[in-house]
Amino acid sequence: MSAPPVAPASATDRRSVGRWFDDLLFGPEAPARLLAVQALFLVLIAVRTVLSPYPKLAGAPEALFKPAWAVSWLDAMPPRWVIVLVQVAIVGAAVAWFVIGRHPQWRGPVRRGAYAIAWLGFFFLAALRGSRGKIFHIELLLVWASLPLVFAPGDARWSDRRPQRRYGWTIRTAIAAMSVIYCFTGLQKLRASGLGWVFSDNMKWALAWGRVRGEATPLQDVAVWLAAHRPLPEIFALCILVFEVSFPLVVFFRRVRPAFVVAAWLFHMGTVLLLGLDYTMWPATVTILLLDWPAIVDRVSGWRGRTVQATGASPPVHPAT
Amino acid sequence: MDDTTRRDRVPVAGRVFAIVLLVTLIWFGWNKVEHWPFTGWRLYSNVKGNTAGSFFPFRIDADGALHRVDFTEMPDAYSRAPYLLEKFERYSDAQREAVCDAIAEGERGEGRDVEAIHVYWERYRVRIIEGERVKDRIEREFRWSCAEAPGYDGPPDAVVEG
Repeated sequence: MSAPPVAPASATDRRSVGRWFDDLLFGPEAPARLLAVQALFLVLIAVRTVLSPYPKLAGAPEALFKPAWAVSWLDAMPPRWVIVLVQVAIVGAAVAWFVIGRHPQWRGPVRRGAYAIAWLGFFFLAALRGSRGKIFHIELLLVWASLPLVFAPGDARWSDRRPQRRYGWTIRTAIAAMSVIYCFTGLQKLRASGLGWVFSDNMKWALAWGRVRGEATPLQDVAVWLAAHRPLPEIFALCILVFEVSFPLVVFFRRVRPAFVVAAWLFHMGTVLLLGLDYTMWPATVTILLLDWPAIVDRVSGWRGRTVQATGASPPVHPAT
Repeated sequence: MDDTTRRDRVPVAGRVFAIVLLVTLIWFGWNKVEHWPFTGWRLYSNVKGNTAGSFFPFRIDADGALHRVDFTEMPDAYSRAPYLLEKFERYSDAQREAVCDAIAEGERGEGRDVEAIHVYWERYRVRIIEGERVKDRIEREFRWSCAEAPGYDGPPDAVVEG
């Protein structure tokens, strides 16, 4: 009698390590989560499209138009009607995704097409804003992080909570892309300035200057107070650098994700109020990608159900979509 | 194995896309190549000091008075023009003239009189004195006169700030 063949432990380990790495990018997620992330990205893109003054870009003199690489085929800033048409297309695509996309027969093609149109339109508008002589980073995180979801299946249902790879890879790839971007913003500080970015008067003077060219910020007095009280500027700078460089931890450890969401809002609201740099699109993108929306909704529904039962009323009913 | 489990796989094209996306972001980031939407992500990466200099445009009115061009009072299309001014030293005369003409046109569009655009290099210093921010100009140097109207005499020896 011979013993059954057993794979060497090292080969098994290699396979499981390989699987672990594979799962980081291509692992399963619930279809409901994909649906939530796509819906929230579309809301963010539509809101940004409506609220940002894109039509005002029209009429820029030729000498001030320095086309971004992505729109280098343009000779001049497009006329106002073209920009408005793109805005309408983006909002229309978002509405179609929500309204027509609910119909089981049309769900797949409408959702995929509508999301792609909204992304392309937003990409175009963002490229126009980046065509004014300097790289415009504010919309770029959303542009890159929302791109993988263009290739997501369109048949996800909110009622389906069973994690699957074909729904998960787009979310995980988006999180990885976002992590690369955040990490580079920190790494470039280290490469350009070393630890002097933290342990020097860098942040003190950044707080004192305020906006680019020295205009006042919403909390200029607080910023100046912080600047004058060492080591608060150094602590502020250290927190920023640690947050940015360590961002890829969210790819490896799901438990740290809520902490990074909170940190992102603290960091970016701090830069809005103290430095006058409005990067709120970034924490919004972080929040959409890092929170497990179906789990949150289920938890809130369960809590509300328990509260309703305790008061004797009938629990809320959630129609499956 | 049910049908759902059998269908649950990442498409090969999806895997290729994900890897290409991440490698591309890393390559452009590491090499600091700026081709929007690709970028080196150098956001405020240089250490700031208490002095900073930039090029600033001024319009000269019919009386020869100097007025700082306020881009916040111009159409949104002009809001990033200050960044083009920072590249002025690298620009050719023709490129500089084109940007100046555009600024002059924007000022005239707002109903302001423009005989010429003068570009100055200015350096400022920020200090904190008794808890207050104090910003003062420590250097100003005339660099270029451009977008000159027909008959404009050229930059005067001394200009009066209007």
